[in-house]
Amino acid sequence: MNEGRCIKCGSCMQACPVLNDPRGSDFPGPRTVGIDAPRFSERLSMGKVSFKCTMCHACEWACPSSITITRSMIRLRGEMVTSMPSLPGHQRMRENIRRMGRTVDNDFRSWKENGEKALYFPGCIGLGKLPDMVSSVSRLLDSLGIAHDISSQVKCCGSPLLKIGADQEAEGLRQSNMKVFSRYDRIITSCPGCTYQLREVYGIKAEHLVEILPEGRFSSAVEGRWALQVPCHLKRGVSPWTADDMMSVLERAGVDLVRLPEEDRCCGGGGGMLSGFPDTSDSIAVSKADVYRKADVRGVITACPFCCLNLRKAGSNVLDISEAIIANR
Amino acid sequence: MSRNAVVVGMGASGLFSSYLLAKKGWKVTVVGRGTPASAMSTGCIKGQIVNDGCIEEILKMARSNGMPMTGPGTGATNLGTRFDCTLLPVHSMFSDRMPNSITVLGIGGHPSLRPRLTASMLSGWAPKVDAMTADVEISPEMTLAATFRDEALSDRLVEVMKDAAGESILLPPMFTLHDYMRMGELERRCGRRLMEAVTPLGIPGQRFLEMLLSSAVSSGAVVWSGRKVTSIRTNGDRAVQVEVKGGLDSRRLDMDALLLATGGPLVDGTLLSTEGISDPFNTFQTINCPGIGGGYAHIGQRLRDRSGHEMKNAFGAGDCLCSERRSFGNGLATALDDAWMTVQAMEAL
Ligand SMILES: Cc1cc2nc3c(=O)[nH]c(=O)nc-3n(C[C@H](O)[C@H](O)[C@H](O)COP(=O)(O)OP(=O)(O)OC[C@H]3O[C@@H](n4cnc5c(N)ncnc54)[C@H](O)[C@@H]3O)c2cc1C
Ligand code: SF4
Ligand code: SF4
Repeated sequence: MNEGRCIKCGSCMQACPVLNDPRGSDFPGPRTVGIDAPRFSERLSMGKVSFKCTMCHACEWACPSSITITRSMIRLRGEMVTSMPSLPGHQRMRENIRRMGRTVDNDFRSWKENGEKALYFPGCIGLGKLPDMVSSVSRLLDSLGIAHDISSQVKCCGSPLLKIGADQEAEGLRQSNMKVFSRYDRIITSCPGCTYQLREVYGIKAEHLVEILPEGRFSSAVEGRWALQVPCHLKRGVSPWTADDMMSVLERAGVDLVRLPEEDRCCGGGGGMLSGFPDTSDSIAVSKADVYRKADVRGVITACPFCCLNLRKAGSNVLDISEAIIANR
Repeated sequence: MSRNAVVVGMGASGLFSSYLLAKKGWKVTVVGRGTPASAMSTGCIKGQIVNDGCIEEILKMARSNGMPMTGPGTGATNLGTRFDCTLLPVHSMFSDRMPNSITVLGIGGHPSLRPRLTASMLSGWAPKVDAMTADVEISPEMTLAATFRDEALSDRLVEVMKDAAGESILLPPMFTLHDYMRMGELERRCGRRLMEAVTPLGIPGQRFLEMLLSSAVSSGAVVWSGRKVTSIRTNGDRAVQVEVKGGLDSRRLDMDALLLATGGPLVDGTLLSTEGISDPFNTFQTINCPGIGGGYAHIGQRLRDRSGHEMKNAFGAGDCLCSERRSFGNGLATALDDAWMTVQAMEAL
């Protein structure tokens, strides 16, 4: 691919949130896993620490040579899973998907299956862990006049499976989901990871909620000063303009935002880290929560279920953007 | 005339010119992706800056960002070699007050400064040079800036430094721009003069870039980071529109003036192939010189189109320009000076 363009500048290593965390320093780092190791026949013996990456794309953003480092790392992961036992957390996630089509269990009961033209695709974490967030996204869509279904038929988008090298299972999910999608004109998501997967891998024009919001008029549903957690896959995956929109929507709604240099640093929750390396994931989240605590804000606004979940666990008061604004009639 | 400028490249030349243009009332959008060479540099300006106005602007900017610069002078690198600069941050300046004794302090086993090696290279700079290691457990991959956010560690460092034999202490770079003032604070607390080793590929270059970026932002430039200009549309002798790609999205941007500050022949800058240096946008003339001296052909700071005609509103600055003045590692002065001169030329439009 394009790994040969590496100039060994180390910019990727300095940008990596895992390497910069005390619990993550045994991760060999993006240059080693993505560029150097794949050149050697011993590459498969690096062991499971080479999976210790949140897929935040900070390394790719930093790389002066535009190397698609995460893609290289995922390819190596794909090779490695055939030669070593999965991490226990990753095994559990795969079994869940096999059993019920989603990464986590859910007792979600607010399905909407009225044959509308638009489909709201909340994703596994939303359905399983953040039903309130799913309801508030759904309410916001209603108040924007976007009638939509929430289908019980859709499965995991497959992104987590690709991250742990299970390509064939991910392809099965894609085929199954595409059958459901074919009934709709518009697919709306609230998870940047899903959005990215649906666009990049499925090749369909899925929209993240944030991309719809600039059309509407809102007021703030919160008081006091709030900081941002800019989701990695929104800014460095979907597009940096979408991340800019997230801020301008909140600003126009009148939310008092405090901008912090760390706002676009990964929360530690992506790339299968929550299930694979919960300790490291937690440690990264705790140091982010610390940044927010020192900034003396009421809480943090984000637009990603993983960020919500992981930063809440670390003690931050986190709202999804759908919970921070109200549509004006 | 409306004054919309698009600046391509977020290295020293792109950000400095964005800062100056925005101050002069231009509506500036600066587009860039990837770590620029400017951020890999030592953040100490090598080479000659011809324009006094340019030096003044840099000094003003450095002061207002809490990282005063001075010069000309000499710093000591992390390998203990001399580094002569036109301008450098105050704590990197060695030559104004040569100390009688220096202690080189390493932080744990961190590779950013290896005290014994550096001390042996430095012997001769002062009558007495010795090496010392602060006993701090730290991963070699972690940046020291990430570690020294911790107050308790700073306290411990002060205790260690109070025991140093030297009247001056040479340290690896540990502080981001936001924390640079803490060098002075540590200095007061331990009662020694603290000097930062001039170090490439790390904190000092990033700090220098951060200073340029925050100056550009606060003067009103719109920053499109993480985005790449993929094509340029021209109309006769004018560049009129750029196409920008970011993530899975792309947008077009109209402009009254274009400034290329795309850097040397790294992957995203000018193209380096077996035929030599060429323009990735297929729009402007390039010149091949021996070494890395090649780049965009220009008259003053104005670019030429592929057939050699002078463009009315397209300019260049920094490493992307063909220049006889430039040799490797001599770049920041030229990049900043170029930016300054380009802004003068654009003001005359
Ligand atoms: C390791 C190293 C150490 C150095 N040390 C020193 C030093 O100590 N002192 C010194 O004075 N000089 C030093 N130099 C040289 C100096 O850094 C450069 O000469 C100078 O920074 C060039 O600045 P620039 O703005 O022209 O280009 P750059 O800083 O390279 O910036 C250009 C930017 O534009 C981006 N870009 C290119 N094309 C596009 C596009 N189409 N769309 C969007 N973005 C694009 C590039 O990715 C890059 O980020 C060093 C260089 C290196 C590599
Ligand atoms: S994607 Fe993020 S976590 Fe993974 S190697 Fe790159 S910077 Fe580190
Ligand atoms: S940032 Fe890119 S070029 Fe630099 S070491 Fe990493 S992969 Fe190589």
